Amino acid sequence: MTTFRQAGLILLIAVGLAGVTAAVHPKRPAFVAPPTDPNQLNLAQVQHWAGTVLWVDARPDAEFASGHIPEAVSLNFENWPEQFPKFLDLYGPDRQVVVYCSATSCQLSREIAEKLRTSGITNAYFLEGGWEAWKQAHP
Amino acid sequence: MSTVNRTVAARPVLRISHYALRFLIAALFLFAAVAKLLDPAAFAQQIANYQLTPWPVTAGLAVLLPSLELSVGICLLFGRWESGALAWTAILLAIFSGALVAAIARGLSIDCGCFGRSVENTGTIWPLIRNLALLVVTGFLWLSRDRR
Amino acid sequence: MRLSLLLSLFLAVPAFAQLKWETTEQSVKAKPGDHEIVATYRFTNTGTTPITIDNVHTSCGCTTAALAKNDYAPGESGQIVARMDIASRTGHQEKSIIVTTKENAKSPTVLRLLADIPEPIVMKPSFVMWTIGESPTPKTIDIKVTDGFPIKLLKVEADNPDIQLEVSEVRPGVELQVKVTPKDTKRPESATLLVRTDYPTDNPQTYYAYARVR
Repeated sequence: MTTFRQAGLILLIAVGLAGVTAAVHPKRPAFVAPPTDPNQLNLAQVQHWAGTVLWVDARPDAEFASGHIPEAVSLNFENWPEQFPKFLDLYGPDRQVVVYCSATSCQLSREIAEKLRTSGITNAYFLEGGWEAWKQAHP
Repeated sequence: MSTVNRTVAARPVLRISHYALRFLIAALFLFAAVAKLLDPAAFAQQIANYQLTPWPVTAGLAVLLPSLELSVGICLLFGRWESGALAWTAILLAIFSGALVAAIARGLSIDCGCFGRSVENTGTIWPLIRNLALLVVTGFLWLSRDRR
Repeated sequence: MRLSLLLSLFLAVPAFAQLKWETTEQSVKAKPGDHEIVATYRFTNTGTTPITIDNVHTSCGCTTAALAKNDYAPGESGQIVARMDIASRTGHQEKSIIVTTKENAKSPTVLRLLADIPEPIVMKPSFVMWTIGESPTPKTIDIKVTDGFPIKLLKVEADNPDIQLEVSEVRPGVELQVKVTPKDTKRPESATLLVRTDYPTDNPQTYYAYARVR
């Protein structure tokens, strides 16, 4: 039997075993996708808003300094009391606030957007993919 | 290739090494597979944290990868379908090395994407070296396998 | 869950974990006045060979993890002390500390810190705004001290006389309602509302709300 056939058979067995696991294992993962956050947006959706977006960078100061979306405002947990009033000076109800941090796996943008919403900024969203997604779209 | 085979057949040392190393890799895969199969949901969550794959794929990988490891481990243990099993071994090792390299290159943390580390990072090269060593072992096993 | 190999996604190295952890997940609730959350994770080398911890990596720059030394002989115990800076974080926070050993480089241990940071004072909202030309109707800010915090709200004042405040006590010292009214909305205005408290007694904290006309 060729290597390819053998590999194929092994895969088949693995798939069978995986199927059984998925069906009966008491600790099997759920196969329905967990709901996505209604406040999460991707870059394509944000492009629609073009000039009205107010970008908020949730990363620590050092990361912000080394590169950020043009005209983004830095707002992080470490310096919130000093930075929030400065953010307010730029904010207006006609602006859409989109918070970002480093990448999809980063939770800071979601947390800062949440804090903005509880502060009274109702149109605060966070960017899926973060700074990495931006860099990919704007090389 | 066949000269390697004849050489291996002729030298007991090489044959014994072949069996020992094959058994070693089998043991590694079997242990890993069983450990992951004890809690696939948690494993799925770990994969999801990297957000490299959409959820249904993530959940699928969480059950498929350990199953693959288990199948490969059993094949290597009993010396059946050795070629196919070794092919999968190399593939899995390569994927893992790729993920490791990507993780090192990005150097990002999961929560905030900051570059902070609190203890000197002396250990990221080690996993890569180990992987390469295992790949070399796999290569040896491939070349010295029984062609029946 | 005792598995320690979850980060080695695709391979194949077993949980020969020789480090046995007392616990890998801790939930800590912050107390009023706390600036950081501390959790200690104790471990013992239950294997027969020495172990070297060569990397302790946290998932967030806000959390540091300290290790006294890197090498542990068989039978020796140690601990990792994790400190999470609270800063302006509130609510439920989950952070990870990833511990890698030289012997088991492909099977790091993930320690989890589940922090619950209650907000001492909740302001709904903490920001009110009028656009220029909008009718200057009063907007209300509700200020409430969270149960269990020994904080008394003393007074609320604005740093700009053109933004007027009317404070009513729902529950004296505990819950206040502030009606904010700009004198007019003809020009841009900016005011910071200072919420004075008596806690901590040696250095009473002031909380801030904001009003803007733009």
